[in-house]
Amino acid sequence: MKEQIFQIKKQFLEDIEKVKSLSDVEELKIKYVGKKGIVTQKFKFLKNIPLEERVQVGKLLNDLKDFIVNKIEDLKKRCKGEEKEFIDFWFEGRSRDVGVEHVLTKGLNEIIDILVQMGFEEVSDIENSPEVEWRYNNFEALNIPLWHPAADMWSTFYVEDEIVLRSHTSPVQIRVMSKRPPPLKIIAPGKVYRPDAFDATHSPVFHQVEGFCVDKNITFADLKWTIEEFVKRYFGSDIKVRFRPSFFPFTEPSVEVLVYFKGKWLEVLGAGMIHPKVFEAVKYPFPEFKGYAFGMGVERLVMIKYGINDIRLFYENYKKWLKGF
Amino acid sequence: MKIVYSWLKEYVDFPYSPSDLVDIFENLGIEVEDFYFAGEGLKDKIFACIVRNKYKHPGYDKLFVYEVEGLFGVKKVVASVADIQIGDKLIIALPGAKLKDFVVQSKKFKNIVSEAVFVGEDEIGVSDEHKLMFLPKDFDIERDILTYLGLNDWVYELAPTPNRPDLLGVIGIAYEIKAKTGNEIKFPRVGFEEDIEEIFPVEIRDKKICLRYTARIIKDVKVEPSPLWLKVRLSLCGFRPINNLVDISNYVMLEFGHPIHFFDLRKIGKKIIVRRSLAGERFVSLEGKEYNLPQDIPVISNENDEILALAGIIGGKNSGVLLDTTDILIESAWFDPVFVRKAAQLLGIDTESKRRFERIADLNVPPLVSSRASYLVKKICGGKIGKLNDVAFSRPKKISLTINLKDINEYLGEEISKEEVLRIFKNLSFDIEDKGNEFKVLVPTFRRDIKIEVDLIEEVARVYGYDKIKSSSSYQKVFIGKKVDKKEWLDEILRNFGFYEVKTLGLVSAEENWFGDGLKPVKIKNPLSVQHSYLRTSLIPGLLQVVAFNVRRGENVLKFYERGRVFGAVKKRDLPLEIERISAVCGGIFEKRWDRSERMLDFYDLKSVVDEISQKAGGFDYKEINKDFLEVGIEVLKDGNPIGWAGLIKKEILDFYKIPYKIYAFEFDMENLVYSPHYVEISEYPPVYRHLSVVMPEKSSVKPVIEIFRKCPILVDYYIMDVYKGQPLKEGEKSITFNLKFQSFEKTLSDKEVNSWMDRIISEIKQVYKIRE
Repeated sequence: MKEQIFQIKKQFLEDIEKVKSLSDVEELKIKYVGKKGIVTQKFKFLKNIPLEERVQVGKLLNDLKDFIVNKIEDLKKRCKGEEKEFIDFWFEGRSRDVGVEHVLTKGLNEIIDILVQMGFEEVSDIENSPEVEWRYNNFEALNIPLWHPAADMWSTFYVEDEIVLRSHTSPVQIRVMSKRPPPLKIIAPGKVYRPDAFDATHSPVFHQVEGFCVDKNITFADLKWTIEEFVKRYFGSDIKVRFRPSFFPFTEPSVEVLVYFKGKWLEVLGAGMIHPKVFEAVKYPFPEFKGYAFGMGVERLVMIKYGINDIRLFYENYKKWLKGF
Repeated sequence: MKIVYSWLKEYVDFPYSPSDLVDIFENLGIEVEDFYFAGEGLKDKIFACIVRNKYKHPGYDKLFVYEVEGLFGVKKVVASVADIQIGDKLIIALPGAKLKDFVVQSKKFKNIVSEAVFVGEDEIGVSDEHKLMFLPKDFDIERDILTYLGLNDWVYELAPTPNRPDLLGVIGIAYEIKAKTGNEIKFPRVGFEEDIEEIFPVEIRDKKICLRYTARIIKDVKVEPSPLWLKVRLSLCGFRPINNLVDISNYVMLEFGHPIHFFDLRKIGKKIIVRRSLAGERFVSLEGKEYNLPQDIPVISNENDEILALAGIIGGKNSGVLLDTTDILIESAWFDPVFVRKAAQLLGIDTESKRRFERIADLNVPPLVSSRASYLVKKICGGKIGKLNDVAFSRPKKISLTINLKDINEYLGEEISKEEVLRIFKNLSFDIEDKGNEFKVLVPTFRRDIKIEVDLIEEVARVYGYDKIKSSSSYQKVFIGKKVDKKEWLDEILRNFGFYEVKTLGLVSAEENWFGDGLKPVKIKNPLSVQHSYLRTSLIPGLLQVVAFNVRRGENVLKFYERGRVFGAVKKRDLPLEIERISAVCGGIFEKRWDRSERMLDFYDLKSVVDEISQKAGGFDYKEINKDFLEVGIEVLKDGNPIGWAGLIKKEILDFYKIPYKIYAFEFDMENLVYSPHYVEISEYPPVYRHLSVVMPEKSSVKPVIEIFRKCPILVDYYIMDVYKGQPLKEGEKSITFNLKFQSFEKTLSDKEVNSWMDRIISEIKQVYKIRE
């Protein structure tokens, strides 16, 4: 019986496709819900059905009848052309429930996409980019002796004396170059950890993107071009960029890159020519091969671009805030 | 470190205005953190004045009215101070002047308006003392008072990089200006006659901690407050003026960037001994802090083993200069950077001295610095200077490097002329031997950062100007960029189902390791707090924190997901396991809206996501399991291998996070989630639909029914149309109605064929559950 009801509905839906005029509608009405209509007939059979099933089938049949009657009324109106459907265009749509991507993911993807377009190969697997690192890869291999105050530039969480939570993504340079011969052009996005208490600009956990390129004939001028190109693509082509000499133990010369944004010079990334000591650690021939490297804080870049004034907001994950991006 | 414009100008000439100098510093790589006018808020607001009249305020017992005259005319000052006399010269501040703690305003005391205030030294930053500034009797009250005070000046707060200890002194910075301008350095005066023959004995017991120690005695000095100029300079540089001796030692340190220490000669004994501490030795610092020393701390002691100072770090209370000091010993030495740094870190002491020694001090300067200090002491405090005892184990050697022009230009990608390079080296005070295209460069000892050839290249680039080097895209090699596949199809599914992506720290507390599921938590040795002392073993704790936070903010629909790594310790001295995971949590309440009624979120809100992922990943199987952290749950399997779990989190855990809702969650390993698109064959033959109602106990699963469906080759799709409870079913029963779609790829199915399959399906189901037709 249920199957039959289903078939009737199917038949009806096929029939209404063929309706062209008001008289067609009348015919349809007679065919289904007239005195001898298909549905009307079925109601008569109801009493033959066992009691325990009768309730359910009866309901289905009633639903079908209501459906057909309503549909026929609609068709009539449409054929008469009397009444247009009323729509309140300012009324809200049906409840929607769509999630959002975290703004950091968005920013990170923007950065990665630009650099990939510029020919960098992304490395972010656990083998080449672990978040828990050998202290050696985090410091010594990068020409940062622990006894030197330069090491204070990277305050670091320790798991054991020889094992740290990486305080920057630069150890990826060591891992990749130790395994692969030059030339290469790599970016390594990832999470880094530093024991800095939370405030508006510091978070114990944040994200960096490391980039490096090694080949013959690479120059400081190439580094400048690469950085300028990246910054322009990320912030817009009219952004003003400045290079301030700086110091990182694993690059020489080193540079701090600043952009002029909303009336202020802001540090956006650090860079430099890869230091010969780093090449020594990974057994690359220098000066036959030279290279540049750079590193940037993702939160910082996203904060500048999207006008976020407090790094803690990223990690609060308040729905309304996340929805804004 | 702060320096002032006029002070720098004493050592080198330059054509830069105070604000131009900021750019010069920045271009040289000396970061300028702050830059301001020393007399900020005081210009044209403070003046010298002479007191013309003084009388008691008629309305107040304790107030006086002073009539003062100066460039500003005549004004009345109402004040409680009584010891100002007619004819005294002082400094007053007019309304609008910004003093240390307040802005001056005129104030009415009954019928008399006080139109200015007398200023104290601390109020204009001359010193820390709250003391009225009386001017000399012969002071010309029309003089520019800011200039007289030394406040008509500019202050630069610089942040030199840690490889440049030479920039922790004004002379070092003058050398940078010399590099830029070529102007010679004007050294401060050091000349004096030695008045007495006395030499103080020094013994360096361990040259590992000290390569050079100079000692000189000065007798019969007079300890007093410093002269105004000295107090002002130190104040502007952020040092508190104390007395002339202490102030001179700080001043000389700021000049040369080399720390220097004065002992009270009468308190130190007969001999200076530089040695390592023995475990358990006691030391009280000049700040009065007591230390129980471990071994190997570098110390200065006397012949009786009394420790007088922690070498290069801080002086002792027992040996410091005080107001009654008459004879001093000047220490100017070179202490080992590693020993100083380790000791200071171990004891938790950070001083200006330590900061300079740990960056490697210049082995060449101790005698010079000692002389400069002696010169200033004699000039300011008087006294008789003794002979210098210079004990040195090693004389500094200049580093010699060879570099050629081609290497420089090839490294930088810029054509810099030979003349330009030579000029830069010369201005940097490097000695150069020009061998045609090759230069031999001798680096002065104050540039401890230059060790190899590329360091010289950096110097050329820096002085030439990074901004002047033309950027170039001439490097021709083509690299093909490549992005890692991060399986973003998972994010897409989650977001489509209303899940918000979150980012959490990944650092959790000890008790939050309950989702570890076999992973051994990795503990951090130096955590910021106990809340963040472990690496997460699961993404769930972070997600539950996010849920709790959003509940507190009044959010009711709590659907979040995170992707990231979890960690598990393997064994000691080995890196822990890192596993990429994706997890989601779901719970809360949908409020009533016009198009839907209120309902609680439940497992099936989460199951939609799991179903969708399953479909895209090639199909999951489920197995009921018990886990410590789950009320009820399943293990999710792909091809028989577990990839994670899903279920309802235990209430006691939710209580810990103060979450008032039931929370359903899943956690999957990323590795085995592989996007497996399956090509959907489209049959040209019509489908046949059938409905099937199965009656089963309320608390039993559709699983056996589905397994039977799967065995039928022409049953291509099915879904659950309805779940029914109530009459005429028995209590504790439910009826589930499936919509079944039969279709063949070979022919139009006949009723008979479909019926025969339906019969088989029904008879199999009947072995487990009842069928309603």
